[in-house]
Amino acid sequence: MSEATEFMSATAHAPVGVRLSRTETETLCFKATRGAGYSWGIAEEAANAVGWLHANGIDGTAVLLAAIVAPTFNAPVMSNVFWVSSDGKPLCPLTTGAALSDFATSVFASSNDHLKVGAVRQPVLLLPFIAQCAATIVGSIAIEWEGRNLMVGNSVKTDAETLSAFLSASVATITLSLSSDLFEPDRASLFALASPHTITALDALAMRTTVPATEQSRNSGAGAGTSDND
Amino acid sequence: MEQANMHAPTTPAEFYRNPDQVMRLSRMGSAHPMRLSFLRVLMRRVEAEGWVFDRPVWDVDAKGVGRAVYCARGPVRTYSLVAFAHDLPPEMRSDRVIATAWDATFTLFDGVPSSDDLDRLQANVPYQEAGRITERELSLSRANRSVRLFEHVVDALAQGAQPDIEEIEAVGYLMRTTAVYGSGKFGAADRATIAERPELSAPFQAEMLSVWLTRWFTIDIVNHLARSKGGERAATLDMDICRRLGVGNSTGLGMAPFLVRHPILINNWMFAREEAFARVRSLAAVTEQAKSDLLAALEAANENARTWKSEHPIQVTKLDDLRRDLALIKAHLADWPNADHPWNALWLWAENTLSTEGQEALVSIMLEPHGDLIDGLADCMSADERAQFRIDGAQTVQAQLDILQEHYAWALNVDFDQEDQSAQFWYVSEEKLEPRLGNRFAEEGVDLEQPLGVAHLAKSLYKALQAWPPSARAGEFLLAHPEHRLMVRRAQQAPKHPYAEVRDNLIARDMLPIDLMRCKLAFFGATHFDPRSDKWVRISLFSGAPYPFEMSARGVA
Repeated sequence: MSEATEFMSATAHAPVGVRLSRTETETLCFKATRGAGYSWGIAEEAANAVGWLHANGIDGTAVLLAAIVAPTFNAPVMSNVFWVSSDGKPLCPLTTGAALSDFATSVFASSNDHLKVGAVRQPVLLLPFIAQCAATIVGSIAIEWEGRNLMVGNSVKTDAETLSAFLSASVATITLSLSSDLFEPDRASLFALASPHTITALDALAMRTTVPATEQSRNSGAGAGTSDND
Repeated sequence: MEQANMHAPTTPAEFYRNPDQVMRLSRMGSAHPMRLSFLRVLMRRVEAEGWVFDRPVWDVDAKGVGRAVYCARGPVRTYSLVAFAHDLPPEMRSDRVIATAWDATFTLFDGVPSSDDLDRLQANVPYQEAGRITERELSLSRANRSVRLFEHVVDALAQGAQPDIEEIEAVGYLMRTTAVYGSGKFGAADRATIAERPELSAPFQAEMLSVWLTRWFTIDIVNHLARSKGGERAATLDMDICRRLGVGNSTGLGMAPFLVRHPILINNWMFAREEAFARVRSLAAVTEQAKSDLLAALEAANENARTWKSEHPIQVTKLDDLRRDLALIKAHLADWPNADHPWNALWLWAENTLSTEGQEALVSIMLEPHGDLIDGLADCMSADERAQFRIDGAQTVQAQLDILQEHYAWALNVDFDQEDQSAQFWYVSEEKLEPRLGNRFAEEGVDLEQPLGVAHLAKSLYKALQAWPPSARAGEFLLAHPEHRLMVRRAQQAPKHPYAEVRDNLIARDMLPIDLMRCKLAFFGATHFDPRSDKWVRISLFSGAPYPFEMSARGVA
């Protein structure tokens, strides 16, 4: 984890980095997640999640890298009040987030209005999925984490210190509860800056989705070959 | 699709073409540009809103090296094409996406660039993928000369003469773009930045504007070089020759997967066209004006077919079909209208008489007289893909099976155990980072296959679902089978998006990527589709269209 922590501190504390567009961020995360061994569909979720964070001024590339660089696919075992992994190891934030989004209409449908999730790795990656839940049930969702609070609707509302601490948390157990508190997103002019180290590492994972050229593929794969000087 | 006008007036179902007919590769590969093509949408808006155009910067030396700025000034905002002209050695001229130098490079700037902006862009745009642009830029593109025509035109003009019309027609453009990037590529503004602006909300409007202004640049640069070469005696290119010239485009396999990766967007393109066509077919009568406009559109199609050249055997056959069919249409129209619902009767006649190529040409021709009825559909052709991204995990396995049976029968019927049905696979090459097609049984890399063989994905999902209790929920299924997640998402989108899927097997041995490319390019408004192999093509954009500066003149008048 030390490698990932270093990436994270580079973005969380030092505002230097590369300003990728959301499209670039999503494309990179899609390929990298697939390259790390996740399914195409989960790779789409990862891309969408980091893209959502990007749109909210939060760089999610470093946490995604930390989550996928040594993938654990730990999926949650679900009850009405508690989602936890079967073997006690921390949950995969992508698999767990996707499940939260998938079950958005039923998560808070039964009598309970709380759901405890965790422990889960790189918990900040859950925010976009929780936002998807909130959008689906047309409300907001409050997150309680170690005495701190975050509110998620179509953006995140919390104080800077909590957000920074949440970004740096490698594992967390959180409690979600339904809130009727609808709020307008702060259109703060925050830009998500990605660390060059993170981009390089994600690129390396993305390259695992590509196929090395052979003589045959060079000749036939793209179908070109005639002169363009005409 | 949310817009109310999509379904008003309500058109009876009998006038719609079925996705099983429309979404076949053979028909998509016969698509023709039409009123709702994106460059037509752009030009209609520019004309309606009285945009004006000017060229505040032309700083190009006698060798044709330098920079220029072309401004498109709309009612609210101005966009500027920043062009860099280069002196490219012939050995570096390549249309491949992997080239590293070009005859000219471009970006579309959001606003009017300052000289600092121009300096920043000059340090990046000429390097294309190796440079960086910012959220102030909306596109990044480059173009190479058609060496043969470009030199001929410069030489003729330098000697005070006009170029040979046959040479002009044989090529059709002075330069061809080899990539036009938009939507957040290489640091450019994301689609979301511009999606709410009315002038850029339809698909690919920034890219089309960039290419239209590039066409103007191609005229300016030949006139400039002719003057440098010929001095006082040099002629200026005649406007009627300018009009014949478009901007060429050379496109490889990279474009083909787009249609598969954006099912909702493609549905909206197709649905808009099919809705437009259904409205026309449902009309009870033909006005004098409509008939005269129809004949004019047929004449334009004839002229286009006359100057449309290709040496590719498949396209040669299609062009023969097209020319024969256009003659049949002309003969048929001599005695038309001659039935109830004459537009529908015309189409039904075509379905029974013409080749697919001729039928699709007729679709475009029949849409042409009906701007008032159909042009508003251009507002329904973009897509908010994120809004429909979420998977409904509460859907039952049975409901999923039902969707697959109803909307993916074309896929479930394929026998993938036959080698012909799974002979190809899509991958991304490590060397070029571009999509490629490989032979599944002869090449390495099958384990890195891209998820573009939708028919196979759908059938695999179907088999996996059959092993589950019908009442189980999709969310539970996906926790156990994340490998089916991509296809579950597609399938859930299918009922609301009937034209989302290409209803053919995209990994079959006889699948031709140029069919996908032709469909996309027709929606752009491309003409003169000219395959150079079954995997890359050249086309022309804006041939025969007015130039931006002519629009300015109209605005003033």
